[in-house]
Amino acid sequence: MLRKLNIRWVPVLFLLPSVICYVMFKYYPLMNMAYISFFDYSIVNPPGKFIGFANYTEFLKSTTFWQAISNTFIFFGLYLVLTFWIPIVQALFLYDIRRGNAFFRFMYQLPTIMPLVGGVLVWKWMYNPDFGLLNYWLDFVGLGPYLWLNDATMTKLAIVLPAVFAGNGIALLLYYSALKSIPTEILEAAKMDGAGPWRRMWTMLLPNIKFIIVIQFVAFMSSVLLAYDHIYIMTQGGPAGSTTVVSMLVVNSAFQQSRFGISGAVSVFMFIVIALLTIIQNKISAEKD
Amino acid sequence: MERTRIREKGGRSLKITAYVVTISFVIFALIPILWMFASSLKTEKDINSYPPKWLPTIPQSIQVTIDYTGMDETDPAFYEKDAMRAMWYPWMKNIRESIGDVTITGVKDGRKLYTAETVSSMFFVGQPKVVPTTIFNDKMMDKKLPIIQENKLSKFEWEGDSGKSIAVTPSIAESDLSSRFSAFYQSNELIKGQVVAISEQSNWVRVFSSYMALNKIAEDTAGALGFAQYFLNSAIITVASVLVQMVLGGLAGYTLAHLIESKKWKFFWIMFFLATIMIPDISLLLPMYLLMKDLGLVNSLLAVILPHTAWGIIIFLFKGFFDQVSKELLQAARVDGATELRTFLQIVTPLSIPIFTTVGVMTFIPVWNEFLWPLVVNSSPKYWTFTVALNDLQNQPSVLQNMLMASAFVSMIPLLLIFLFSQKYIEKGVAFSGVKG
Repeated sequence: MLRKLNIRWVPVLFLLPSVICYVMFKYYPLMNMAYISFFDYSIVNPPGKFIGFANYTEFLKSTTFWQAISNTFIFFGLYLVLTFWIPIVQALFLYDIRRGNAFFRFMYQLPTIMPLVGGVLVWKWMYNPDFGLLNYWLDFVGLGPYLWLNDATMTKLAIVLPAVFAGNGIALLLYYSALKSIPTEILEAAKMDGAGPWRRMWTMLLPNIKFIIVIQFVAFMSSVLLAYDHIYIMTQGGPAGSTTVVSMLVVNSAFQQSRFGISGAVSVFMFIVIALLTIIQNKISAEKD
Repeated sequence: MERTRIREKGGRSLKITAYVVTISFVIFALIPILWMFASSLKTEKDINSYPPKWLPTIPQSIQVTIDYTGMDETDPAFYEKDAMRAMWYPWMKNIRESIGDVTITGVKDGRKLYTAETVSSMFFVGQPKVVPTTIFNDKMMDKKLPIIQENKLSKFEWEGDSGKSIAVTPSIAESDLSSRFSAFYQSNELIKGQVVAISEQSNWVRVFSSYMALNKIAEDTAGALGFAQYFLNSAIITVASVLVQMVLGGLAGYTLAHLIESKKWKFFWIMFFLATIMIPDISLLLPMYLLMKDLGLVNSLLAVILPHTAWGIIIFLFKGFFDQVSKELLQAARVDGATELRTFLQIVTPLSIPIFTTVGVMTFIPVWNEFLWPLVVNSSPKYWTFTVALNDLQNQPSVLQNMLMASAFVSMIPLLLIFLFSQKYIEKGVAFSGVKG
C-alpha cells in the first residue's frame, strides 16, 4: 500500500516544477494576452474598460497594420529569393568536399556566432553613405551612391542583404547532416547505373533532403513573420514605416503608445498565425515518420 | 605503382565547382567580420576617409617639453592647468589627425618639474565635455580641470623640487603634426611656459585605443567593471537558464518517458508541454512584462532568466532520449531499493551526457544573443545584457564608429571560443534536434 503511494507521488514531484513554470510563464501570460485584448487597458487601474472586439476592429482597419502586413510579405519574398536557397547549395557542394571540410563548416558558422546586434552594427557602418564600403564598391560598377537606410525603396533590401552574405549556418548543418545520412549504397547503385556526379546531385541528393527543405520552409515562414531584432536595430521600422513589420506593432503599441489593448489584439493575431504554421510543420514531420 | 582508381567523368568538374562555390561563400561571410575588425583598429581620421582603407594608420606619440625657468609660481595646480591646456587644446585643433598620445614634460632650471600624459582613448571619451569646440581661453581650464581629474582622463605627476635634472635640447621634429602643434603654441598666449622641444614617434599599441575607450564609456554607465559588467550579466543569465532547463527539463522528460503509466495522462502532459512551442515570444511580450511588474522583478537578472524555464522543445528532446533507456535497467535499480531520484541521478544521468550537452549548446546561443526581452524588461544599465548595451552604444552621439566596431568584435569572442572547443557537439545537437523536428 505504502509502496503504491510512493510511486504515485514521485512523478508529481518531478513534474511539478516544470508545470508551475509553464503555467506561470506560458499559459497564464497567454490567457492574460487574450484577456487584455478585450479591454481599453489601463495600466494604472487594470483592466480598464471592457470594449469587446473594438481593439481588433481598430487594428484591422488601420493603415499601419496593412502596411506592416505588406512589408512582411515583401520581406518574405526578398528573403525567399535571396537567401532561402543558400544553405541548400552550400550543403550540396560541401558534401563533395573532403579536404578541409570541418574548416569550411566552421567558417560557415562564423556569422551565426556573431551576435545579431554586432552584425547589424557592422552593416550599418558598411551602409554609411559617405564612408561606407558598399557604396565604394558599387561605384566601381557604376552604381550608387545610395542612401541605404534613409531611402524607402532601398531599406528593405538593406535589411535582407546581410543575410545573403552571412548565409544560415544552422540550416546548413541540418541539410548537411541529412545529406550525410543518405545510405551510400543508394549512391553506389546510381553510380553503377551510369549516373554521373552532377546527375547524382540532382536526382539522388536533392530529392533525399526534400523533406528537410519543406520543414525548413515552414520554419522560415515563421522566422520571417517573427523577425524583429535586426530590423529594430537597423532602422527602428523607418523611414516612414517602410520597414515596420507586424511584430513591431506589438512592441510599439504597448511600449511607445501605451495602447496595451491594441498590443494584446495584435499579439493574438500573431499567435494564431504562428500556431497554424507550427501545426502544419508538425503535421509534415509526422507524415514522414 | 600506377593508380588503379578510375576517374569518373564529371567528378573533376564537380570537385572544382564545389571548392570555388564554397570558398566564395566563405569569403562573402568573412567580409563584414574582417571589415569590422579592421575598422575597430582605425583612428578617427581613417574612419572618415574616402576611399575606405582596410589597414589602420599607426597613431603618433607626441612629446612636448615646456620650460618654466624664471617663473615664480609654486602652486602645482597652476602647472597642471598649463599642462592640460598644452595637451587638450592643440589635440582638439588637430582632432582629425592620428594622434596616439601626448606627453608633456615640464622643466625648470634644468630639473624635471612634472610629467603629464593623455592617451587617445581618454581624449575621445572626454572630448565632448572637456573641449567641445575649438574656441579656447585662459579661464576655461579652471572649470575643465575638475572634470579631467574626476574621470582620470589625463595623468599628472608632480615632482616639484625633488625632480631629476635633465638636459633639454631645443628641437622641433620635422613632421606635419609636430609643426602644427608648434604653430598652435606660437599663435597664442595660452601656454605660460616656453615650448622648447617637440618630438614624435609611431606607437602601434594605440591602434587598440577604441577598445580602451569603449571600456571607459561602459564604466560611466555600468559601474567599475566597465564593459565586463554586461558580459557578466549575460553570462549569469545564460548559465542559470541552461542549468535550470537541464534540471527541470531532465526531470520532466524522465517522468514522461518512464514514470507515468497511464497512456491518457502521458498524452495529456506531453501535449501540455509541447503545445507551448506554438506560442511566439513576441505575443507574450506584453503580458510577460505585466507579470514581471506584478512580481516586482522589472530591472533584475531574474526577470530574464525565468521565462527560459519554460521551453517546450527541451522537455521533448529529453523525453525522446530517455525513451531509449531500457526499462529493465531502471527496474533492476528499483528492485535494489534505489529511490526514483537516485535512479535518475546515478543511473540515467551518466548514460545521458549526450542529450545534456545537446540541450546545453542548443539553448546557450539563443539565450546569449537574446535582445528584445532584456531590452524591454531591464531599463537600468546595471542589469543590461551585452546585446542591449551594444544597441545603446550606437545611439550615443559621443561613441565613434571605431568604438562601435570594437564593441561588436569583443561581443563575438565568447561564442567564438565556445564554438572552437565544442563544434562537434553543436553539430551533433543541431542534427539531433533537426531530425526530431
